[in-house]
Amino acid sequence: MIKINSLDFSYKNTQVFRSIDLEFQKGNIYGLLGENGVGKTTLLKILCGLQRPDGGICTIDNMIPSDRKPEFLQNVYFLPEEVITEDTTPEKYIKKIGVFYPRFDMNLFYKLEKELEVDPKKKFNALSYGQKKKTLLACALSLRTDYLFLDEPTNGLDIPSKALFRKVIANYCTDESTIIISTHQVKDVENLIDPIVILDNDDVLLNASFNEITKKVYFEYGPERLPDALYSEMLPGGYINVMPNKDGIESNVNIEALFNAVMKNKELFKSRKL
Amino acid sequence: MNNTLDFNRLGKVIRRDAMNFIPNFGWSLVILWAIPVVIWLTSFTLFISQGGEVGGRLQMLRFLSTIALVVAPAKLYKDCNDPRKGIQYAMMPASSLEKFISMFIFCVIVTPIVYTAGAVALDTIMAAFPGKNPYDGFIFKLLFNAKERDMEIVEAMGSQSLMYDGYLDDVNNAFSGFFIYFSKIISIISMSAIFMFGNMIFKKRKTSKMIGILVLVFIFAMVIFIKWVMNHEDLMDSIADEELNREMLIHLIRKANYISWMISIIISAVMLGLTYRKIKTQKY
Repeated sequence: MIKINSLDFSYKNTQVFRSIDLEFQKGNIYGLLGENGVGKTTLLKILCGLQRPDGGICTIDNMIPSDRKPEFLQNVYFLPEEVITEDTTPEKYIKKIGVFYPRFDMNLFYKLEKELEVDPKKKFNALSYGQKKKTLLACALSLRTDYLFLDEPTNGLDIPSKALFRKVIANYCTDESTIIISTHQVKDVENLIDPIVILDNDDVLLNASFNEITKKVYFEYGPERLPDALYSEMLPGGYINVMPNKDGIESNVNIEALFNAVMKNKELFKSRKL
Repeated sequence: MNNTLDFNRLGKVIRRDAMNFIPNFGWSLVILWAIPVVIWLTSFTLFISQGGEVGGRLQMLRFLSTIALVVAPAKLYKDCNDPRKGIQYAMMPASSLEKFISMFIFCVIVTPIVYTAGAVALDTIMAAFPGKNPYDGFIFKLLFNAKERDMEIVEAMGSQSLMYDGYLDDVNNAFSGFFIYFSKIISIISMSAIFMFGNMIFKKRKTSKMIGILVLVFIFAMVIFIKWVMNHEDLMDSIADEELNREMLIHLIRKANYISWMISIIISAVMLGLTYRKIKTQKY
């Protein structure tokens, strides 16, 4: 379990987080959303010990990430947005790093490479950007760490690959694993992520499961913009309205509309007065 | 689980670094090995029969192995503090101490051994070549004889002419073979340690920046030394007036060497300590 209490972080004079509190439970695939520059990548880096907070406490299974102890590191994997590969084949690369991870599964790697349609014997520089990205995802999953942090994992993937991405991630998640996906491409991870964390400048606006969200708001598709809507947006054929849910109306979450509703009503969502 | 030092995990880190050794450093080694070969081939084809004595070649070997030592950290661990490429190194499930030990092994032990072994093997092949060979004698015969090796180098440099007859014997007698080897090991460690630290603090042009800093430190030290000498003219005059006493000279050489060892040991300890700390606390 990941616990963050009163976490402060800044880059020189820019405050990124001011006393934020967050919890990430096991067995979930979290969507980490936010506008550009609010600190999504920074939060992932703090969680895997690549950055040290200025204040507050961050622990993962009672271990402090910034200590970078082997016991912690062998249970965490961070896949950055940028694709960085070595002058070797994916097969040799994963064999080299896999020895450090006690639950690494070479057969799973081959299986994932096959599912993602990438040849593990081809050198990285002979693969396209999307193939490299899929290969690194296969590497990350085959290490079988309990915590997996993915930064913009669908950037550069084509449409079939995005579907494959959702499939392999959904299959990978167990009761013991926690996946945090930081993304701008909410449609790519729709039906995959739950709960959702929305970050704002130096603060957390929302950390809730779909179940909790739909108890507070509902999503109505209709011909017109409703006056009480927290957020309305014109879609082909009508409007989507995000409405306060006072009558327990059931609906499916539209992540993009939810995100915009939260950004438009920051104080309301932060104060949890909905 | 031992989170500080586990030999099984250390073995894995060493294995990983060994796998990166040739891809990251291979071409640099080949270039450094090729330099004496090119010189030999040039001498051979132009029928130059002089300049290939063992002392001169040993001097060149020492110079080139120093270059190998200086560039090794930046070649082998260039990405370890890179904000993007260094993430994998930082997140490798091994302790900072294990990563540091492996870095030390490859920069301080493996690099000089691999370079020297290769260079000596090439030199032996070249020296054994039949015909009017510009290379006279074999380096490997002197490799484990520190005193004789140093004599050859000093003779090749011609610096004995600056001193009295028997000066080299006196210098040689001032130290045992053990101390000469000790001195070499200390100088290898201190040189590597400085550039290992440079590799951790600079993101780009790591080696040249560290050389720049060393040049500045040297200039600063020289200015301080000259100022000190100018402020102690009386002492300098009295030393210059005294007749050169061989025993006193040996005593002075010993003392100067001990001081230089102490300084090298302190520099090595500080640089290695700071390198370890940087591995442990590097942010990405």
